Parts: sequence; structure tokens; C-alpha cells
Amino acid sequence: MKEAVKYIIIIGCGRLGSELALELSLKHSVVVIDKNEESFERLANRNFTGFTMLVDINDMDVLKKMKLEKADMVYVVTPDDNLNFMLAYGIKKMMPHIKIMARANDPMKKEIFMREGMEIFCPIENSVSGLVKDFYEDDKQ
Amino acid sequence: MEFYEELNEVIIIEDSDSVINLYIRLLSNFMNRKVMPRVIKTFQEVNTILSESSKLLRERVSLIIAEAEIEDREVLDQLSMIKKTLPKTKVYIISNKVNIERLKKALKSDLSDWIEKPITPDEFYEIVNMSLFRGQTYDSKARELDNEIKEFDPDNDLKYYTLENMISKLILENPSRFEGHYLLGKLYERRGIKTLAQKHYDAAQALKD
Repeated sequence: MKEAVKYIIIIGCGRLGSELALELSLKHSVVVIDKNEESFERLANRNFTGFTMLVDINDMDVLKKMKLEKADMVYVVTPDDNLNFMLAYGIKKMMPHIKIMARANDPMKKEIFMREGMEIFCPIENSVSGLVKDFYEDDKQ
Repeated sequence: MEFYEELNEVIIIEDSDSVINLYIRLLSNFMNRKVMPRVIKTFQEVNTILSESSKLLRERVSLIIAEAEIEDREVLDQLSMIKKTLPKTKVYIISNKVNIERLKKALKSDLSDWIEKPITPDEFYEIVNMSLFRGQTYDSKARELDNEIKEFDPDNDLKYYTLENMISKLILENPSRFEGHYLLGKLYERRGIKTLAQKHYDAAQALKD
């Protein structure tokens, strides 16, 4: 075998989910899940490699059919923090061994995710840290 | 005169570009086994497989990975006919478009398995590993015999008759292929039977042309 191809599931094919899917699918087997078919248009004609699945992401039983238990990584990146928490929490309870990264848009809600031991990605906080870091680096020069 | 390259052709019957690209990427990890993917994206193309020479298909196609529907049309009947033509080839359906009737049809047609999408890399590797020909093709047998002829002692009568018998069986297995006659020519040449050797070389050349 040339390289280990990982099985990655991305829940939510919005702006973040689709970019993540495009990047990760360069090397890995990616499944992108969303409840709106139009969301997948973000992947069209951009060399996405993998599966797009139209499912009701509020239904945990349907999510199980995505072979979650075999995933090397699950990204929960819908624009809705409450849904992300519910999904990440539900998946973690069902399959504690799975690595999950959840998106928390509102920095105020970060703690709720962290209290449950979830790894989170906070786009606003990350952007602010980046901007502040750039500001101080420019200032030094 | 050279033998054909030994190939494991894998036919992918699927109409989604992103899924096709994934299968090809996963198959590229088997390139040391000379895996050659062939993509069939349209309903019409599925029918063309059936019109191809069954002999050549039988020797080359190790595996068929198929969606149950192509361009919104079911292809199970076609897959069933392909399976009849290529009984040793594994045919897997990777599809979510499953219902009881279709499962029954797949079972009746002796298709290898029905895997629901999304297929994981491990599931994919497993079906490929279980399906690729392992040294059982006409080409690999011919290549092995060619090596044996190169190494055999022309004064060893037992080995000579054994090889002659094995090559004759190879010719019977596929009389229209040139390799068997070429090998007999080589065997007779090494044994010093030049007239007979030339006759078989001529036959091999004629079949190759």
C-alpha cells in the first residue's frame, strides 16, 4: 500500500464543511453529509473526491448508516452551535472511541462543548487570534 | 515475441465523478499488482461490455464494482448477464438504492455482495484483495512455463515430456492465443527438434498477426 487513506465524515456542507471536504479529499476518503442538496453545489466542479450523502442530520439513526463507527475522524461543522453540540454529544455517547471535532461559532458557548470533553474549532476565536498575532508581528517590524 | 502484460482489469460502473475518483485513488494503492481501472459512466456503455469478446474479458476482468442505478436506470439485469459471461469475476454492488426485490435479484444472479454507500477504505481494500487474480491467469501460466523452458536441461527426458504436456494443456485452454505455440517452439528448439520448432513458431506468428 502506498499510503493510509483515512475515512473522514464531515457533517454540514456549508462554507466551512465544503472547504474542509475539498482539502481533506485530496488524500483521504471523505463523506460529506447535509440535509440540503443545494449545499453540495459548493463541491461541484472542484475535483471533490468521495461521497456526498443527503440525510436528515437531526436523526441519529440515519447518521449511524454512514458507518460512523469506522470513521477515523468526524467533523461536526453545521452553522448551528446547538445542533453541533447535540450531534457531537450524541455521537460521543454512542461511540466514545471516535475522534470528533465540533464547530462552536459562538465563543460564549465554547465552554459547554469543552465541559463534555469535546475537541472544538471556534472560527471567530481563531480569526481573532490570527489577526492579533499579525498585528503584533507587524508592530515589531 | 513478447507475452501480453498481465493485467487485473477492474471495471467501475458508476455515474458520480467524485465517487469514481475515489475508487480510482483507492485502486492506485494496488498498482504493484497491475490493476487497470476502466470506468463506465453511462447506461449505454454498460450494454457495450456484453458485446465485447467474452474470452478477453474472462482473462482480464478480475472485479466489477457497480452502482445499482446508472443515469437513474437499474443495471442489475445487465450485471446478471455479465456475471453469466464472466463467472469467475467478482461483481460487487456498492449502492444505497436497495430494496427487497433488488436484493433478491442480486442473490439470484450470484453477485458477490451488496455494500451500502459510503464504502470505507477498509471495505474497499477487502473486496479488491479478495477479487484480484492471483497467478491464475493464462498470461501468468505462460510466463511461468517460459521461465521453466529457459532453465530446463534439454537432456532431462522427464522434464521435457512434463513441459510438453503442460504447454499442450495451455494450448487447449485457449487455442486462439499465440503463446502456447511459441512456447512449444521454444521447447523443441532447446531439445534440438528444429523443424517442429519452426512449425510452432510459424503458427504462433500467424495467430499473433
